[in-house]
Amino acid sequence: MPGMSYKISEEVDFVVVGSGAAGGVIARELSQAGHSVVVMERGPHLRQGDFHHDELAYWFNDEITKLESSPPQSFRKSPGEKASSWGFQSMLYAQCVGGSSVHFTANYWRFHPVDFHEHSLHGDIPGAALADWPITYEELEPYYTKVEWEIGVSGLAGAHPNEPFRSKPYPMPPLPVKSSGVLFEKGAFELGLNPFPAPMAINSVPYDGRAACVHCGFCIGFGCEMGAKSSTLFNMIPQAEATGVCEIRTGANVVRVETNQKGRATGVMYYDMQGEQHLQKAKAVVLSANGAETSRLLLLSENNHFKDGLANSSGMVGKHIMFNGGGTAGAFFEHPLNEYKSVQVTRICHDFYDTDPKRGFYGGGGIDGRVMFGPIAYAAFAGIPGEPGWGNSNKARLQQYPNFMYSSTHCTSLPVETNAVALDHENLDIYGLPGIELTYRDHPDDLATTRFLVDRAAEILEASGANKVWKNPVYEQSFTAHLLGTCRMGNDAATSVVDKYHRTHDVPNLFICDGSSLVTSGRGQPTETIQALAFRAAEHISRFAKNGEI
Amino acid sequence: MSKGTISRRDFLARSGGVFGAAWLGANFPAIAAAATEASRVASGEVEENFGFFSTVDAALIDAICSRIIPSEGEGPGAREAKVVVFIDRSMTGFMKSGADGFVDGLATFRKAFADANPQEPSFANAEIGVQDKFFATQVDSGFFGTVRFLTHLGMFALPSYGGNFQKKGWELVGFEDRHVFQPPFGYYDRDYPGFEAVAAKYRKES
Repeated sequence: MPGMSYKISEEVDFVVVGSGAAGGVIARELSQAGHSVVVMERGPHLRQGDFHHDELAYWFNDEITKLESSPPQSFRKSPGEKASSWGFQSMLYAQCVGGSSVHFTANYWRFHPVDFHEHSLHGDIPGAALADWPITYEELEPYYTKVEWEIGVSGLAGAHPNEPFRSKPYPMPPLPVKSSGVLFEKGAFELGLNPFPAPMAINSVPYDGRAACVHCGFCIGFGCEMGAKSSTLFNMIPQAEATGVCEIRTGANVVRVETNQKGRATGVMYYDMQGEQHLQKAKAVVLSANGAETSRLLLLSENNHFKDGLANSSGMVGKHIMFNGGGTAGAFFEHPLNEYKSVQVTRICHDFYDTDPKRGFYGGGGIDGRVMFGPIAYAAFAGIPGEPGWGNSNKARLQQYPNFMYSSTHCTSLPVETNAVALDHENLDIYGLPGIELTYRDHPDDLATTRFLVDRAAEILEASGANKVWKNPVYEQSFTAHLLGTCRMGNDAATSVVDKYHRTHDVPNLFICDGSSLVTSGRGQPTETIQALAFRAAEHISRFAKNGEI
Repeated sequence: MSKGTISRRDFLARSGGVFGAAWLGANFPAIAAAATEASRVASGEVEENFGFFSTVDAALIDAICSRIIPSEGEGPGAREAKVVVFIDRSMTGFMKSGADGFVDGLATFRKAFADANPQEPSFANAEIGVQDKFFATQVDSGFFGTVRFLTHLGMFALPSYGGNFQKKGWELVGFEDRHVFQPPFGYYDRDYPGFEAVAAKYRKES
């Protein structure tokens, strides 16, 4: 019974804030378990037919990543600086039903077992707050499998000799290899590495009532008009609605979690599309609004009982934001690759995943062969550093577009306490509430890891037979689509925000599950892990509810 | 999302410089330059139906865009793709908040050319060699960053935005405007034998 609508005055079992990668999963799991659920989503409910191939709109004009009601953002590199704010969003996320699972690239890497206990392996890292997770890979493995089968992931199990344990293969074969994949694979094999087909949350064949990819190429930054991208928009959300007990309430801008004198959450305050304020009452609240918005909401919810923000007795809300490091090497080849066709990545390499103390720094990562998507992005951003950006050489560069590919690196970001999201009281949203101030500077080891991986990426491209290879400079990052670690999990209430079941240490009926829950950053591509956590969290939250433990 | 070497932040940071710049005012050489640019419009070389720019300014923008993606050589350039129409429309659309700054930057560019080349009638009417020599002195300016970015947007954005006339931008870069593709996608994935076969070959060799 899609279209369920609760009366605003009605108390439901759960209100879930955010309908993205995590919120969509939690909404479906809780509603299928029989709980009444209202999902609060700031953005609209777009459908397949609403998406289109407009690079200017999606990449440069915030087609689905900014709303009038979005909080303004400001950025600075260190706490001593004044944050600047001039309209640009340092933190990019889609604001519509399905959240960033609508516009993601759909790289679905499982974290490796090592990701969960690196503090035990490497000890303290100066300038960072590296910690072990309160759970292990083995505990999460069944939920990774659940993601792959219920969200829909294409891949080839066993293709990598050191692949972490998995209990089932992928439900779909890998997507067809592209020229970038063939060349990346060749270069990596020539160097004695172990490239393998990229796991992607895109249908390689019809699956679960959704169409197979038609290889239009418009994945990264776009919504999929075929429904072949495994966004929660196309799977979890309609399945949640079909239970008849879940309402997706769009245009709902949540600005506060309300609590009573006992310190329990009573619901969320939100503005509707008309600017009217309402309280949605709930027996329990789940925040899945992403690593920036969840923290902002907790900080906005301060009151006499929670003076530093809700669930923030540790002072850790908003702290330790991790982006994942990244760099690129580029190459031109003799013949056309036509990389604008089909999905962005078809081959990856995890040979440098683990930290190797012999390198002299913490960190590791993965490397892929990929495209710098569309002609505008290529024209604006790609090319050999130092060459003139105009004239005949520029025209010649543009004409090399079909012969171009990147090798992109994705790596660890250390949790640094001063890297944080906080309230920006000088930049207010349309309701007069503080925006988001982001403070971020890459840890030196993150930059060293990125440089190391860019060197390896360039070697792979050289070994693949490219005509020309170059390494792009590695800069300190000021922009991200990965918002990780700002309400980290942990067993110690003094150093973490949620416990291993995603229940906040301070408020027994308030749960958080999204990128903010991550303790470490993995090596990029965090969405599969976020969703595995969401499946696991929902299972436990439902159990708590049924046992009267909330 | 992928991380480009030049971010949108970088672009906008540069744009911020030009949008905040104050134009010191036109003087005689600049006015003279504007007059000669107008002659190119009158000759029909430049699209006349502009909503934001004067035809004189449009002629200068068209000339600037043509140095970023020249018409010379194989394939169409910015002029053939009518990038200037795109930029004109953008000033009342997504670039509205930066339009005044762009106009200031354009005037500064015109004046700087006139100061540096008092013997030339205008940038738009100068020989290509003269244009390029002057252009090379402008690449560090905020205006150059902005107009270069807009030129590329206008070259490759959907034709409905006013540029990429008859999809000439996509023609230049070999971009096929289709919604469905099937493998092989490029030269190197033809006759691919499958991952297992490739892996077996390399692992056998090693």
